[in-house]
Parts: sequence; C-alpha cells; structure tokens
Amino acid sequence: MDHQSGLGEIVINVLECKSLSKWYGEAAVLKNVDFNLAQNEIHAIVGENGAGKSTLVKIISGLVPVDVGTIKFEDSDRTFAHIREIQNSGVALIHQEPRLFPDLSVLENVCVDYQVRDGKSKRFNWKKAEEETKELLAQLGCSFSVHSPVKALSVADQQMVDMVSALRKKLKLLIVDEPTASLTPSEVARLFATIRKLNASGVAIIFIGHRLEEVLEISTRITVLKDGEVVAVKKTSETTEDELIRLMVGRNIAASSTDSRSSSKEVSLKVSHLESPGFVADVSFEVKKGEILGIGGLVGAGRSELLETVFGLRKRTAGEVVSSNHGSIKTVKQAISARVALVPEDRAHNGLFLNRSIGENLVITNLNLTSKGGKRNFGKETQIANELIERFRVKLSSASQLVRELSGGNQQKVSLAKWLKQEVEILLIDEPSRGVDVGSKSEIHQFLNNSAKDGMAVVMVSSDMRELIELSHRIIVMRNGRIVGELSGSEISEESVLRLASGLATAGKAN
Amino acid sequence: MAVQLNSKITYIFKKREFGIFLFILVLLAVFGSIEPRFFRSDNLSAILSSVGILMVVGAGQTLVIVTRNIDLSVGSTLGMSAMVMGMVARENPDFPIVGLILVAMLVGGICGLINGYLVSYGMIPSIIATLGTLAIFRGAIFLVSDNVQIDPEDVPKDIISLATTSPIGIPWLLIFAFLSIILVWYISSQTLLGKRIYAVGSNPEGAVSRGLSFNKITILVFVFVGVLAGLGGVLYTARYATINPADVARGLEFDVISAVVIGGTNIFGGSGTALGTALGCVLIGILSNGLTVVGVSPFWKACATGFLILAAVAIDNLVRKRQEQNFLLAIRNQRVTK
Repeated sequence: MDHQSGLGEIVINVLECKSLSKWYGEAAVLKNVDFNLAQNEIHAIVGENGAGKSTLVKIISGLVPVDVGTIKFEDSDRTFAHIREIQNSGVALIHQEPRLFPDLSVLENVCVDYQVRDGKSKRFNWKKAEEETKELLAQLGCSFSVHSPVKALSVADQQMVDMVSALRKKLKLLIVDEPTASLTPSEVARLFATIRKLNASGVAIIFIGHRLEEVLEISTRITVLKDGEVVAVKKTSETTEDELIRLMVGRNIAASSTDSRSSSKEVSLKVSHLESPGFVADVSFEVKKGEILGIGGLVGAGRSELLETVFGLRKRTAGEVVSSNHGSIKTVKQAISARVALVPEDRAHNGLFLNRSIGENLVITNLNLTSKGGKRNFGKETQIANELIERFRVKLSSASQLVRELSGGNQQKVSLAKWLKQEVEILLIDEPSRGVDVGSKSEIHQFLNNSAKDGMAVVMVSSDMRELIELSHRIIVMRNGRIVGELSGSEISEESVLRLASGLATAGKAN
Repeated sequence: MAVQLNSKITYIFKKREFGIFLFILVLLAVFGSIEPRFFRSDNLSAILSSVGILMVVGAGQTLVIVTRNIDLSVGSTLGMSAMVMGMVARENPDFPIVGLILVAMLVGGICGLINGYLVSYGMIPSIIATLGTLAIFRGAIFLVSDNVQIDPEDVPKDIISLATTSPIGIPWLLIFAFLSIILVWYISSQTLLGKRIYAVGSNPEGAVSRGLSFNKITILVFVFVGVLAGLGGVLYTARYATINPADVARGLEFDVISAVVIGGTNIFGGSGTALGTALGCVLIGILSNGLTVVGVSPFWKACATGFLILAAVAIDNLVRKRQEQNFLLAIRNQRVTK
C-alpha cells in the first residue's frame, strides 16, 4: 500500500516507520506496521482499544523499544535511540493522562527536564524560564499562575502545562494520545486551536482519538489500525465516520436502540436533599425500574461525587437515599446489600485490582456465590469467570492474565462484568465509555440497554454527549453541585443539555 | 484569583514550620521551669551538638525521603565512617585533619553508593535494601575494627576541637550543620537538579516518560546522604571522642527519620523542606535532652518521641485534607466566576 498516492503530491516525510512489529509475551500488538508522517499534516490514528495505537506512539517516542523494524526521523535512524535523545530531537508525547509532577509548580514542571546547553553557564536562569513559560501559556490562552502547584489545576489546564513543557524545546513532532477524554467542549476547542496553530508553524502532529467526530474535525489524514495492522490510510476529506467505523471494527455495529423508551412507574431509588460539602448541594431525584437516568454537566459539576455520595463512599451531611426494596442506604455495605453497584470513572484506581488476574477481578464481587463458609471454591470461580468473559467478549490471552495488561475497553468490560452475576437492581455508572474504543463502547451500551429492559435502574454520568442523549430516558443536568434542570423525551438534545450545564438556561426552560 | 490561592498555600506551608517553632518554645518553657539547670550553658551546648549531628544527616535524609525512598542505614554508615577515620588517625597521627574528614565522607559515600545501586538497578525497595545494609555495615564495623574501640587519646585534638572551637563564635560542628541545611535548601529550591529530585518523588512514572534518569537521581540522593553521614561521623567523633563498635550511632536512624517526618517531609515523596527538617532536628534534640534532664525514665523518653511522630503525621494529615478541600472549593468558585 502506497501511503503517499492518496495525496497526489510529493511529500517529504519527517518520520518513516518500516514494518514495525512488537510482541508482549506471545501476543503480537503490532504486525508489520508502516507509518509515514509528513511535516505539514495532522495525522490521526484510530482503531479499537487493543488495536495498537498507544503502542505505536510509545515506540515512536522511545518509551517502549520496538522488536522488529526501523524508524527514521529526519533522515537519521532512531530505531534504538534512548528516550532522552528522541525527546531532545524535538519529539513530544502527551499522554491520555497528563504526566506531570503534582507537587511541583507549573514553572517547575515545565522546566524540570530542560537541558542546559552551550555549556556557557551551569546555572539555570529561572527568571528567563519564567518569562518564556508565561509567554507560552498566554499564547495558549491559559490564565493560571506559573507558581501554582500543578495538583491545583483542572485536567484540561494540566494538559496545557504538559503541552507547554513540550513547546519549551524546539518541537518538531507532537504526539497527542487521546487528549480529549476528560475535557469539556470549550476546552477541546482550545486544545484543537493550539494543535492547529502548532501545525501551521511547522510541527507535525500525530493525533489519537476515540471520538470520531473530533478526529474528522482535526485531522488531515487518518490511519486505521485493527489488531495491530494498518487496514487503511485515508485522506480525511475523502472518508466518513461510517466508513471509519466499518474499517476499525470489521463488522457492523448495532445502532443503540432508542425505541423502547418505556420504563415502569415503579420507583427503584429515591434520593432526597442530599448534601456533601463542597460537591453536592441539595440534590433530589428518583430512578424508576428499567430506566436509564443520565446525569449531564461539565467536568467538575459534582456528578461523580454525587454517585459516590449515593453509594455511601463520600461523607454526607444531610439527605436521604432510599431503595424501595431495601430501605435506607447510608454506608457502602448497606448499598451493596441493597443491590446497588458503582462502576467508577477511574477504573485504574477505584474500579479494578490492576495487579490481579482477570479471573480474580471478576470473582471478587461474586465470592458469595463461589465460596461456602469462608472457603473458596476454585472450580466455581473459574466457571463464573469464564462465563462472564465470554458474555462480555473480553479480549485476553487467559483468565490468569493481569488486568493491568488489558486495553481500556477490555478493562471497562471487566469492571462491568463483575457485577453481572449479582442481580444488581441499581447500577451507578460513571463515564461508561471513557477511554473505550468504538466496538467495546457499543457492547457496553447494549449491556446497559438490555439491563434496563430487564428492570435494572441505571444512573449514568457521562461527558460524551451522544452517549448521554442516546442512552438516557431522562437526563438531569448538574452545575456546581446542584441540579439545574431535568430533560425528558423530546426536550433532550445536545443543545439543551449544554445550555443547562453552562448556566445559559434556567431549569425547565432549556429549549 | 490565582495569586490569592497561591499566597494562601504558602501561608499554610509556613504555618507548619511555624507550628514546630511554637512547639519548641513551649518545650523550652516547660523544661526550663521544671529544671532550671536545663538552661545552663553546658547543657545548651550539649543539645546543640547532638542537634548539629542530627541536622547533617537529616539534611541528606530529607532528599532521600523526597524521592519516595528511605535510608535506614544512616546510623551504621555514620559509625562505619567514624571508625575508619579513627583507625586512619590512630595509625597515622600526622594525617592532616582535612584528609581525615575526606576519608570519612568517602567511606560514607561508598556506603551510600551501595544503597543507591541496590535500590535503583537492584530494584530492591529502599526500606528492605537499607534494612539489610543497616545490619551489614554494623557488622562490618566489628570486622574492620577487630572489635577494638577508638580511644580519646587516639583521636587528633583538631578533630575534637571541631565540637568546641570556632572561627566566628559558634563551633565548627554547628557551622557544618547549618551548611548542610543551606546546601539542601539551595539544591531543592534553586537548582534544576533539585526539581528533578522532587519530580521523581512526585511522579516516578512521569519522570521516566519525561526522560529524567530515575536511577541516577536515586543513586545520587543515597550517595549524598552517605557523604553527609560520613561528615556526621566526623562530628560524632569530635563530640564523643570515643568510637565503640557496638554502640557508635546505634539507633540514630530513628531520630533522623523522626526529625525529617516531624519537619513535614511527606513520607510518600514529592515534598519536604530543609527548614522543616532543621526545626524537626531541634525539636527532637530538645525533647530527648530535656526529658533526661528533668529525670524522665529512658522508657518514657522513647515513648514520647514515638507519640510525637504519630501526632505530627496525624495533624499533618488533617491539615492536608482540609487544605485539599478548601483548594477544590476555591477552584470551583474560580470556575463559576469565569
């Protein structure tokens, strides 16, 4: 496949990767991948989770060594270069989660890997660095102080700090790995403006994203990976979202059913006047059996904290949570025995035991089924684990594989699947498809729809507007810890949710 | 708005050191009123000498703890350095004093290098690695010295006078202590290297992905604390004149780590200041001397230090929690006003 032919012009490549292959254990993550990058392009890489996108850019940026193949950057061979050498030659990788130092200030974060050059003076010029950093931040439209500790910044601002650290060096290639996962729309716009500006000034960009509408908006060319292989390289102007999905998945994805939006009248969970200082203020709502209640709002509106407070994880100062079948819920223990399950946003820290096997993670919530008198029954555990793995189509080499080694989508499936056997009546789910690929996403959506049909009450927090609108029967919108509006039926639209979330409309007058 | 936030934080951080300072004043008042002899000049200079030794080693330990590590072997390292230096002096009475100091620091540096390699390239958690070398170095002191102690007459007068004489009115011992603290202050707040040390402790994975040499920084801080423990060995010799293989600086690691933790260095890495450690050392020194002077039994003395550590960390946690909450509130308000 000739990657240049599509462009119909002569292009000078800054980066040429030839037949890259990489194995983790016996599993091939990359198979014979060719990847070329021209200086003036914003090249998106799309693919399902586990398709090898992150591995590819980790190899390019020197974080992970390649097993077979060659990498040429600006005409010099970089196949086995050390990460520092690669970074000093102007390559920067911005991760899904910003890799910063929370205890250090913005300025210190930006300067920490600065190399003193020319040997003129060994002393680092903090004043000069501060001025340069301030200027770069101003260029990116950031208003926070260079002296504030990074842990005090929002995720979006932290990403900007990460970006500025990259810009301090002479940048030639910027790789952004799923940068928009936890950003609000206006923050995404700011990020895209920055990326375009950099690209215009001669920085080649590799962009990894799950939200295809964003990929189509920002990129000029798109490489589609599937199972570690390049299946297509397309000019963005000559492709569509549908085509990309077909290429990525290799099968047709069932569109989420929006038809049967009937839920019963029976209230499953009633929350009244819930308060958690600083995060949740006077929140009341009900969820009915078989209903998916969406919670919309901007990042930081207190949505995750609301779920945590309902589940009993976060201290509450006032209010009541009552399950109609099991009575009042105050503690996590009561919540679990009332058949409430929480699938948190941060899988890595709260949802899973990363260093344990998939099997163990699946069994941990089901020990009541697989043990008798405190003694584990390993046969039964294996049986349940395998059943869940099959039902959720988790991609793995064996059930004893560590969860840490799974891709984001598959981790999320494990995180959900472990509740499946527990006859959960009320599911609290936070960002069900954050960092999840298209295929897994649709499977998760199907699971939520089917579960609701079977009578489960679902409370779902999502920043993915499409997901929120397509899945929810009803949406409540939060802002600054309060519910600012409720939408149902025909009132539900992207615009109405956004208007409420950003405070442009008041309750009940969203449209 | 951001500026306000910022000054509020520095205020809270300063408050922590101010708190230790106040507690020191309270201790002075209590001990002084129970036992007036506490304020006699010979007692005060005894306190200062032990505080000085703590400070020299504590300054190094601060940077080690900042990188999420801990060095339990500092007492044995100090003992080893003192013993080797003492033996060199005994065999060569004319050995120049600067040479002796360098010998002690070299021995300490080698001990630190061993720790650093075990922790970085050996990938042994520092608490295990240095627990091992704590015993190994202690054993080595016996082997090297043949279990013969260094007597006061074997120690050069110039060394002993480090604890008493001075060029500017305060003894050399304290000058070394202050210099160590100032050095750590300078490294941590003024240099890029310092920022890298804090970065490694703040987010080790991030440090690697930003191209910082994690192993080099780890080795460096262990060598640094080793060299300072070597210097501590010189000061220990100056103060006690006798180096007994069995009890030279035995248990020093407890006082040093207590002082660093009480001084506010986060045991989970990433934060901590030289000033905090200095104050922590003063606090430990006064407490341990004062309890003896007022006649508290050694058993209660150990308990008191233990309680102090727990109280310091507990209060710290409370403050941090509240601080974080206020922080989030402030940020949220900021968003609203935007």
